[in-house]
Amino acid sequence: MRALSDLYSAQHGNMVRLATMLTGSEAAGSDAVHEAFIKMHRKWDRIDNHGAYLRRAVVNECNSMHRRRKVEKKHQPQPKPPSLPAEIDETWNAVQALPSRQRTVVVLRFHEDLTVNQIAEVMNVADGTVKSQLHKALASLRKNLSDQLDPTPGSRNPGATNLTTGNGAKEAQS
Amino acid sequence: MNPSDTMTKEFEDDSDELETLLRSTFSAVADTTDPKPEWGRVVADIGVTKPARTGWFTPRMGVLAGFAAAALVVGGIAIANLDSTNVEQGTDGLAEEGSDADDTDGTSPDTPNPPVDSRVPLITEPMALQLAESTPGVSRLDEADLGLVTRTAVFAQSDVAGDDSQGGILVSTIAGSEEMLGSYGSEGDDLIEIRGFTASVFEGAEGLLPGGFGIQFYDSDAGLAVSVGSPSAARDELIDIAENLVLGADGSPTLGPDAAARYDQMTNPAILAGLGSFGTAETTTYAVDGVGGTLETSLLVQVFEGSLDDARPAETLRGQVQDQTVRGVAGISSEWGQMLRNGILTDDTRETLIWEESPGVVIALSITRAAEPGSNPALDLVELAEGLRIGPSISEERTAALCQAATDLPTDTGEGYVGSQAHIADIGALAARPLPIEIEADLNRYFEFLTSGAIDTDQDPDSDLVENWPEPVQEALANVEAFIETNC
Repeated sequence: MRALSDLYSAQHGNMVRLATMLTGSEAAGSDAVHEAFIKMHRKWDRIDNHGAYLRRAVVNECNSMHRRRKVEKKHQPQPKPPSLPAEIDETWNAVQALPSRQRTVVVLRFHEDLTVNQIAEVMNVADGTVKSQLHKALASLRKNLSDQLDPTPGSRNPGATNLTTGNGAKEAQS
Repeated sequence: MNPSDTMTKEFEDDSDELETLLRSTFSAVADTTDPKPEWGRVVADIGVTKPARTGWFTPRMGVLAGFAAAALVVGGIAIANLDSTNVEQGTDGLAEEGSDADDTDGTSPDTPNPPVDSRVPLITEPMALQLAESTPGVSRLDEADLGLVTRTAVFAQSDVAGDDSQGGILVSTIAGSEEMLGSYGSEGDDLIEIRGFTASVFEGAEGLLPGGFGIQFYDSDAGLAVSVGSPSAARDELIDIAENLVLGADGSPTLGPDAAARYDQMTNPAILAGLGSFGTAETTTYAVDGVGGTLETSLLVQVFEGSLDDARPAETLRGQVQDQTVRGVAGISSEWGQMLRNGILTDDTRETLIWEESPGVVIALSITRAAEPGSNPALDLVELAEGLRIGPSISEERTAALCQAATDLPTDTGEGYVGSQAHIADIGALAARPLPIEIEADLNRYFEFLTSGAIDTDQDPDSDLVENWPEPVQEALANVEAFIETNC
């Protein structure tokens, strides 16, 4: 119990911040961290790396909580977001609008500064999954935050469906 | 250039500004966060929290506890020891905002039901609330696994008609994205690699499969969550079976061409009777969480294609089946009794109610609950069934959304578009959305190819020709285009 207490003292604040990023709410993040510590206590003796396990447990708990809250959110008032500058607020909302897995990789990458490999370990997925999720997340954020980012050159004309070549692309030589 | 290089390069080249913005945002949010340690609350909760229910009955597993059970009942397969209590399907699919659930208005049971021409079942809100309120300790009601399509195959000993089919194997697959179905293996699970994917192994010694094992993993190539279980196979035997599974294009599982010979050499020799796959079923699971996130009650609804005659053999399973009239038609209800004979939840019960809603459409409603002291065992399944609503198919909704997105794709793109970052972004945006399961794996395969760096016209000017792409990619692309052409 003493070791758990020490870990709690050392990591509680960091984990709540991480969980806040993942859940979008400090209250929800605190609950997630609370649950993670309780679950960790049950398995304490079987855990090799307690710090790594805690982070993983918090991420799992946040994702699980996020799923539950998707239903609850329909019926409950939303927690008041932190007071932030407009630009930050818009980015924060865009991050929160990402699917949970994409949001997780973005937060772990840019808030926790983890490498792709480290993120993969935390999320228990392959490196490739992290990369694809990161790619999708950044593409989505670029699109949603285009007003804040430099315009992308090479705009194209919208048109009918074509998944591959488009009108101007090469056709196979027959 | 490999996929890793591609991603990393793009990430570094194109995202500096976005990265700065994200870091600034997270820093600002972190600064406004004021964590308040509540160690006393942790200590208090540790003191009152129930022992962890590991393995088979974590919430993730329990949500789908009834999945295979209802499938077995509807399929009429008499394998008493191979129901869902033994072989559970683990997913934690997501209910999506703006989904069919939003259409549920709590209409009273007297309101005429819409025609059942679709596959997403819904319990009306008052009924769900009743379920929650009638279960002591319930803190919340979750809606999960909307519209998941499952295919289940049972491979059993020759004496399938009896209750002694200890040697059977049950394989279930659920089609969907990993985002929807969730990852497998966490929190100290026994993790191994199956077919190149991380899999969780669950031992029957935890209470559900005396002597048996279950394996679960997500096959990202096929876009399938796979569950393999047997009450009798040894761990290595089940791993061998899982390794050698053959998954059809639609996710239907078979054991592979030499499975019978292999299985004959196993601990419990048997003559395999390949009972094949059931038809598709779209499923909604309502899970009621108890203390500490531990699943206490789940309510599962499935819509199958089939007839009640197919389900009638299930009557021979138990001596506790009763005929019921449900929604004006005949149904079958069954009390499954103590489902976890040797486990922690020794008083858990499952009740199942099945009826033929309309010709060719069978609905199964199943509830699992822990009989906590003071709980209300008289939860009325029939009443819940009367309140059932059937929403539009999740696949139909996703198809409509995909069609809209597909028509927004650019066509006047010019030379060099194929394989470009713009192309990758366009297809990536398409692949990132909830997709009809029919093409989800194909579109993801196509997207992965695009991001692999294989298209490099500087090195190979013809690398952007479809005919030069790997056959699986060509097939995947053709499938997606055919789907859009047919459905949009």
